[in-house]
Amino acid sequence: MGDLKIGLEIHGYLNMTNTKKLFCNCKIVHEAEPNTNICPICTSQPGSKPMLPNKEAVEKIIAVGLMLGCKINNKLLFQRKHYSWPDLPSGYQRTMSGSFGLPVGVNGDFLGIGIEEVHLEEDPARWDPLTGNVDYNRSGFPLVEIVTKPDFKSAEEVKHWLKTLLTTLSYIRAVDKKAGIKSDVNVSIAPRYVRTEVKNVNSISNIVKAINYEEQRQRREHKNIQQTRTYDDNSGETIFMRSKETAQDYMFIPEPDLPVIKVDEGLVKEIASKLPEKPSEKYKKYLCLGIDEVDAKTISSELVLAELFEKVIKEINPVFASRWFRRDVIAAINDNNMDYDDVNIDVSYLIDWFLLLEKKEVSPVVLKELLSKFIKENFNIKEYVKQHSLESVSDDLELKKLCQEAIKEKQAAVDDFKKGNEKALNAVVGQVMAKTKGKATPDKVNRIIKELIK
Amino acid sequence: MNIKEKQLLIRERKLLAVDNIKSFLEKIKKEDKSINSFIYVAEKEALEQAKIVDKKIRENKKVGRLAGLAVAVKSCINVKGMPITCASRTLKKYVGTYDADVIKKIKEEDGIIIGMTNMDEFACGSSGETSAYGLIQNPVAKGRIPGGSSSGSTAAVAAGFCDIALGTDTGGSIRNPASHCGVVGIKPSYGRVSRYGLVDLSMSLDQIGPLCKDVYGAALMLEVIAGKSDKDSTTYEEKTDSYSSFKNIKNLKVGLSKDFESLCVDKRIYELIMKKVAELIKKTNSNILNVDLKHVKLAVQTYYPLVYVEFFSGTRKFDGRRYGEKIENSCGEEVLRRILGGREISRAEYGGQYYRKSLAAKKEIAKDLEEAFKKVDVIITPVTPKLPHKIGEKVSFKDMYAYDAFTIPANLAGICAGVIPAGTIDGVPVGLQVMAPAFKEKLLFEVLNSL
Repeated sequence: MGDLKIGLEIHGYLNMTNTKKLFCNCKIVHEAEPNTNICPICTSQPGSKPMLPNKEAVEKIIAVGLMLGCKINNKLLFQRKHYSWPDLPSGYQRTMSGSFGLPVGVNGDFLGIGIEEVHLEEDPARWDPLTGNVDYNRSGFPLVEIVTKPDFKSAEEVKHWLKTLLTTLSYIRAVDKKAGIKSDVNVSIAPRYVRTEVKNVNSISNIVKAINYEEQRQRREHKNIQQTRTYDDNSGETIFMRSKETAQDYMFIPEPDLPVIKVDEGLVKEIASKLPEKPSEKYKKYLCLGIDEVDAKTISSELVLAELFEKVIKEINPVFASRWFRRDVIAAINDNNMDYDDVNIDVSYLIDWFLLLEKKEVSPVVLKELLSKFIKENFNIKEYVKQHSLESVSDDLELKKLCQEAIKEKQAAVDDFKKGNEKALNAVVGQVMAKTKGKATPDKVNRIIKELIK
Repeated sequence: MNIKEKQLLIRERKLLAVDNIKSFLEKIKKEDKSINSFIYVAEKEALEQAKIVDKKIRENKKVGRLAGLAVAVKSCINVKGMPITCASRTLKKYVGTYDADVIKKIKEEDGIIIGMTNMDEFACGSSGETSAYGLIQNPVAKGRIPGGSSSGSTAAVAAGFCDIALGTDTGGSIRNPASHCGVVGIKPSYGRVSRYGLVDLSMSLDQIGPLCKDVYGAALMLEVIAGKSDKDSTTYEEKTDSYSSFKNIKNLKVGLSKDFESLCVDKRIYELIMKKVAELIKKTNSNILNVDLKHVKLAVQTYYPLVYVEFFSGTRKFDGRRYGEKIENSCGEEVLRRILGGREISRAEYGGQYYRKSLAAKKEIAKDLEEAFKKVDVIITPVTPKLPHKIGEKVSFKDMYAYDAFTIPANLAGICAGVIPAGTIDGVPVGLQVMAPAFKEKLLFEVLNSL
């Protein structure tokens, strides 16, 4: 092993807040009635010309380039990549890649993998080979393409790297996660490193399968030639498409309908200054605070979560907060079927929630139950607790009385406990919790019961 | 009657727009059979529009600058609902789905589209002989070609079938027929007029421009259609002046070039131009200066690789899946030559040595002209190196390409240029070309107006 070289060309949809296509003002809607978001430009009617590329798309792609450590070019040049296919209304695709193109970013490095280039291109339409129908809604969506150097040594490495990449890109809301990614995968093995390209593999798990299949195939077939293959989802195999000799000539020319676009240095600096810390940086930072690896990984995987967490730990012990964040805060968000972007809780309220928890002013059981409602409705938790009299039953005498009652009522459990069944005591504690409507602290109840039956 | 007079008569209700249109329609019906300048006459639409304009005037509502004037449009410019054939079998069935920017502006100014004109197929030609709808006759010099590729638009103006026409000029396609038919034709600076809606010949060179019998009409039309558009990213934020109000100019520095003289095959043309220049110098108290345009003789060789490659690219959408037949299976010889040539040049193994070399040569030619314009205000040249040939005469494609030797440099340099009749030789009209720096259309019109 160790003789494998893998490179990726990753395609994803740019996530746009102005929801306009790359070269016209048509809306970006992923699931819409066919041919409802179209115009002469994105259907490439005779005589139509592209508008200047969507400014937000250019800014987003610069941000992607910066996140991946690329050098940002000061000029952008679109090329025409010619090929004939029913989904391509103009007979060429506008892309920054190609023999004479100027991509946005070059020479990057992301977690030890070289980034060849990052560029922008337009999506073709959707063609249904069965009906022959073409839906142009998608035509002109801005696509990001990230090309790595063949620096990967294994499918496992690719998998982890891609996951981190997606997390990182989600930090800048650059890629539409719902629309998924596609990747061309280049695989070659020692000693000859004859490159095989597997086209359009559409998920991380399929990418892993395609690499594994290719590795085995190439080890088996000694006379491997440079070729392009396709991945078959059903069989998990790659299938021969064409050899290098018959490789397509895209006849790239610079797009005459678009000027060379100057990238202002000030703009790049401004974008760079607004970039968030990378997830990997946050992860390391959390570990240094003594946070558990799993907690650190989970929290840093979502920018909204991480940012919220970092505000909370200004007031709350980070290790304590991280436990609750990783399990309960995430569970509450999921309970509500919320996107992280929709989480709109006031940090001060959330800090109050943690303070109530830390100081045991309210029982954790009560706080946990409240969390889902609290995250969704965002209210003053202190007031709420007061109004609904949810403070912990901290009156020792009162609690002692309730414990004595419970011991009587659950005598069988007490006997079991005395026989050595530790868990049996839970029934008694549960009885007390029920009596207090959860307002007691289980630890304390446990302690009192143990004392009483000693 | 000139355009300025007619404009006024219509506004004062002394001439109804409807009558203006009707008289053109009658003349077209009677005379265009022998000239073949129109592919489609928009009789119904034009009369309807004319009635609307008359009504506006009757009700004292504000009307646009082109109110009631008949505009003929070259068949490669999109007009919604009209056949945009590019005079090709390929687009026989294609009907415009939207208005080009220029058409939108003309309609906003109450201009009336009278029809779609015949042309060299896909604007590939300099003679008006390559249309799938039959060749176009020169209405002024009978039996000769009208020039091209805006043959029908120019012939329609010369024959009196419209007030103003739109042509397109990639290497001389407005100026060449304007010279042969004795009318005024303007190629605006690249980026002055939006190309949105113009079916591509060569995207980096194409411009839409006006053809008219008088300078005023051409200036008026350019005034309307000029300006930046979001839908053509190659248009510029340059101020558009009022081109149609001329002041008298004096003390011009007029550039002449030896390089142009040597390109003239028919020396009588050069003599005629010199005579006109002498008149201008005298009238305006101007000076002649020689300018050195050493790369200008490379213009034709530089031009064609650019046109071939861009035309090849632009026609990929005519793949038979939409619009009509696949272009390679339905076009004429010259169109096919350019597509195949463009495909060959674009092939990867040439590594861009033709297209990119041409782009570099284009820059050199532009630089020559830029240098020249530091010394002079305008440059005056012939329009074509020889008189238009007789219809039926066999002309090699290389000789055909040579027709544009004087006109191509303006396209390559992105500057503006205009043609005005200079006189006749053997009864055949001969035009004179004035070239002015990029975005100096105002100066261009003032010089043309003084000639």
